[in-house]
Amino acid sequence: MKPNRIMLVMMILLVLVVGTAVYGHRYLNKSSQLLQQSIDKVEDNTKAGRWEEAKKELASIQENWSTIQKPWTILLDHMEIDNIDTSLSRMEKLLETGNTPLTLAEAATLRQYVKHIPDKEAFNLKNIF
Amino acid sequence: MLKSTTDKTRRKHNLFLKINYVKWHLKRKESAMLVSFARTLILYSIVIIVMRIMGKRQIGQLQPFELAVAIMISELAAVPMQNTGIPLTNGIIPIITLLIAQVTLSFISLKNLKARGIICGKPSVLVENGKIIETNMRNEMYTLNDLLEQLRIKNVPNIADVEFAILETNGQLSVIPKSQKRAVNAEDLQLPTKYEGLPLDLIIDGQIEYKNLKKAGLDEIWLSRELAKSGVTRTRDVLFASLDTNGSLYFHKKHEEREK
Repeated sequence: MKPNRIMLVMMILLVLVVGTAVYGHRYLNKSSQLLQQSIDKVEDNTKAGRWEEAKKELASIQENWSTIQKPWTILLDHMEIDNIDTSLSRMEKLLETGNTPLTLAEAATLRQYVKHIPDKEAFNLKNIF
Repeated sequence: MLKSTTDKTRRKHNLFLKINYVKWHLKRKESAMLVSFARTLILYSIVIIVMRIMGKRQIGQLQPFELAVAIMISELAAVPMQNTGIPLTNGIIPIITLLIAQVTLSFISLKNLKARGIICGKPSVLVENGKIIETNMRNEMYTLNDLLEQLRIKNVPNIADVEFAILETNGQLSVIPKSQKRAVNAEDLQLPTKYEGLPLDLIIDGQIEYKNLKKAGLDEIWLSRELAKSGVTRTRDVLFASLDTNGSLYFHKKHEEREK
């Protein structure tokens, strides 16, 4: 292959890499915010003792998570995905038992697991170094 | 009686659970192995493609920055290969980035002479007109022992026989012996020599290389006729055939050693 053509291929590859990275980060941000909003709702319902609504909200989180999980697996360390999975199942059981303090603690943990991902993947000096 | 039946049922149930656990474990292990298998194949293909794009040079002939890139790529591919917890993209993106950087540097050094000097470095003359250039030796951190060792490898055991020794950018030493000490060639003896070109491969593994046949201005009929002279009726029975610049055909029949 001629050098000029190779350089053209490299430029296309570069655009693809940068484009995928930017799009990937945007998706992480958007999906993380969506999950966080639902977790907030679960937390509010738990505080108010509305267990049935909290369970419904958790079911919607689990539904969203099943679609979000696939692209996240491509972009993130699989340990992060496992952490969220574990936290979700723990929260499901806690909501069934109706334990307010533990459910709130688990919601906070889950929010942290979801929230720190876009920060961890962001293109900034802190992450570079 | 009732107790022993309950115990038996419990034991049966426990055994069933254990078997199921082992089955589940084996299945998980098996799928994890398949994941590793698929990941290895993907990364292997990527590394092969990347190495092919990067060029054909051997390890010993690589420029320092090319060697560094080759080592980094192999390391980057190995990590996600063995750790299935790491997404494949974590290995692929750095490999592609290195490829882009490496090809860009090579392209710049190809187009710009000044940049070439900075990226690849310049050759250093260690022995000039039979004299050791100490400054260059010091600058390259090349010891006299290194120099003598390299000269011995190049079949010049006596440093007094060396006219020039140049340390190339890829780390190899080029040695030019004094004219009195180099091997005699045909020109020195004023002997006329014939032109020696590259022999053309006409048959490889029983398959005719039509491109080379056309290049030599010959055709399949000529080839079949030439082979028939030696008792070969089918070209597919020939393992290898080539035509040298003098026009003589060399061929080797398949399974010839078995016939002997």
